[in-house]
Amino acid sequence: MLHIYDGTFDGVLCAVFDVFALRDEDAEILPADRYSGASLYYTREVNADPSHADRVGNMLERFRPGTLRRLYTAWLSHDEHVEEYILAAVRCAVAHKADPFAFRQYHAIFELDRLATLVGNEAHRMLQFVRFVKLRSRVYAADIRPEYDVLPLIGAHFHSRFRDVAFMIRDLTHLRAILSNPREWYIAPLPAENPPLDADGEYETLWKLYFDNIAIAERRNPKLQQHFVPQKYRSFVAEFRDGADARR
Amino acid sequence: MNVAEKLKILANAAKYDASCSSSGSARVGKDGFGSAAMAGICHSWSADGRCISLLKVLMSNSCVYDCAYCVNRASANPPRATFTPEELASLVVEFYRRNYIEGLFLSSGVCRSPDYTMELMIKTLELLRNDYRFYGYIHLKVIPGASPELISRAGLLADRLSVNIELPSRESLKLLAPQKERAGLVRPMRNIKALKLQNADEKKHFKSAPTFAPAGQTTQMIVGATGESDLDILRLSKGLYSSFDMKRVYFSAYLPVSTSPLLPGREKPIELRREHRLYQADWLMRFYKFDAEEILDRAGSSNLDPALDPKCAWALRHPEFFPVEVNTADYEMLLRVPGVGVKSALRIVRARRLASLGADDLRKMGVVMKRAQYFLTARGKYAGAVAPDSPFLREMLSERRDMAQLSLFGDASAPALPSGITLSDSTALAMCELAAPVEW
Repeated sequence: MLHIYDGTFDGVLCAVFDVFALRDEDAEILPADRYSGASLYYTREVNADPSHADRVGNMLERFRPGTLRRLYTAWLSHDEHVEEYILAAVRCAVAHKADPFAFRQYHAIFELDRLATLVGNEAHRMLQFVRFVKLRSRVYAADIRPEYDVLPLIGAHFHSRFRDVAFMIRDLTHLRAILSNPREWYIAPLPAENPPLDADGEYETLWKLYFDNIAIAERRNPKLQQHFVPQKYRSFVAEFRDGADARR
Repeated sequence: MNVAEKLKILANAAKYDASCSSSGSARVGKDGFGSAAMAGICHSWSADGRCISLLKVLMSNSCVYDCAYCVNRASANPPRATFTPEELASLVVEFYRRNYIEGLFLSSGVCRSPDYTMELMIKTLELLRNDYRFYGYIHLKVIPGASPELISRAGLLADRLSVNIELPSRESLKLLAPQKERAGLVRPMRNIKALKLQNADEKKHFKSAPTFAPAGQTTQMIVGATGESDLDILRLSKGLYSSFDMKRVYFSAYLPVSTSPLLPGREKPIELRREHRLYQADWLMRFYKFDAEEILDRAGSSNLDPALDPKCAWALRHPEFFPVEVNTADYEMLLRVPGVGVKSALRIVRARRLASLGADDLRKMGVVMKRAQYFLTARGKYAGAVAPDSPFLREMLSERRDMAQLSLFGDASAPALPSGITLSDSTALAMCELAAPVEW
């Protein structure tokens, strides 16, 4: 049976719940936006009931806290097979009454863990590479261009760290933005065209000065530097943006 | 002198400090701003490939000491500068707000007297913590000779404290830094340990008592300026870890910054590979349950083999332990297999409860079979082309390709060696990967 869900993470958990409830041995799960409208399968729409999602989530968390977050991280990759892997992982957890990520010898678990690592690592890179500029309105703003949709994974970190100001982080790849103020943070859609942010004047200049002077010339090692700061991120990291080498 | 000029001078003077880690503390506050992440976060990497996590500067590069190996020694003539606490605190806050840094790494030359310098540094920390309500990470270098009262005050403001042991032996210290004494460097380390224990006791009674240096203490030594062997260095770091509960012991390959006749000349290449091997050995002691005397035993050479990572070298010296059956070996033994790291060993232990593992499964656990194949069996099958005690194995495991790069050491475009200048624990994992490409 083909189960069509609403494209949310709760939705995919509900779909998994339905697969178990209907004892569907030959299930396939797809988000509505990837369903072409034609399938040889018998097709049904998933019943989006938050309590169903909770039951699946609680079951996974009971085996090992953090499993649900890892599943969510992998799901954010929006890989075309991710629903298949998630269903396999839940089946594995139920069969063995254990944390599914313990069984990396299974192809689906291995792939799911790999996706979670890819997305999780990029989210961590955004904690490193977000560079705010202070706008005239005293709002701090930053642009990023991540490959994956990592905003949901980084919002809480920045909100608790910069809890006394308003800030915004624009994801120009997925056209979404984190908006945060001292009370709350949320994710909002962005228009297709976004004006570039102004440079941050004095402190950005001081930062570049520091960046250039903290390196030990005798130990110069661009290859190692590149390993940690890949080219694809350099366009939005202030000290790399206009070519760190050009300033030398 | 304006802030930019001071920043340039005082960053340049601070760059030889190895540590830039921001790990070990999970500071939070309701008021104000900032936080510390337990695993630490690096924010950038400079042209030498070392991470930038903290704003690493000196309070002042004036110094009353004349240590031969130091750029800031009294007899040298670099431009001198001193931050005011206000200038520095505001710089930290502005950088932090833009997510450039995790916090401050503050060290200093000895300006007038150790106590005067410490007062100046503490003033900066007080401004940050009390006036700005800043909860980011602060690493403070303790000035040897400062009074215990000042150390106690500093520890309540900072996340991590450190005192440099400077050189691997008493004799070298006497030769190169005659005004410093080993005992004078060890005393503040002992103070810090005692204060931390005392604070832990207080916290049992008063939950709200502030934590003294929650991220503990670290130290650093210069390697290659003097004649100590790697075994001497590893024994010393083992002692430092056990006597003072050090979180890290950092090594920094000697760079010729002066023309003192007591030091190796400029023609001696920087021993980056040696530094790298020492860090690998350090990792074996901290995460792989190796003892210093196992990594380099008395019978063999007292220096690490530049062509072979220390774990492989140990395995080759002890063929009697291998091959190991992955489905039955205990965790400690798995950790000793070259090509198996902490992560893959944990994965193996978890996964094998379900079903026995074959060689293909091991690859999925992240085991690097290139090296591991010679040291393990999976379901009784041995996949290596030669036996663990084969005389050819050493040659097969040597990093020959990298060895060829050794000749480039004098060159500025030097090889891709991790500087070992870590970092946070999460990056430590990344570094570990570099430090021992076999691991996962």
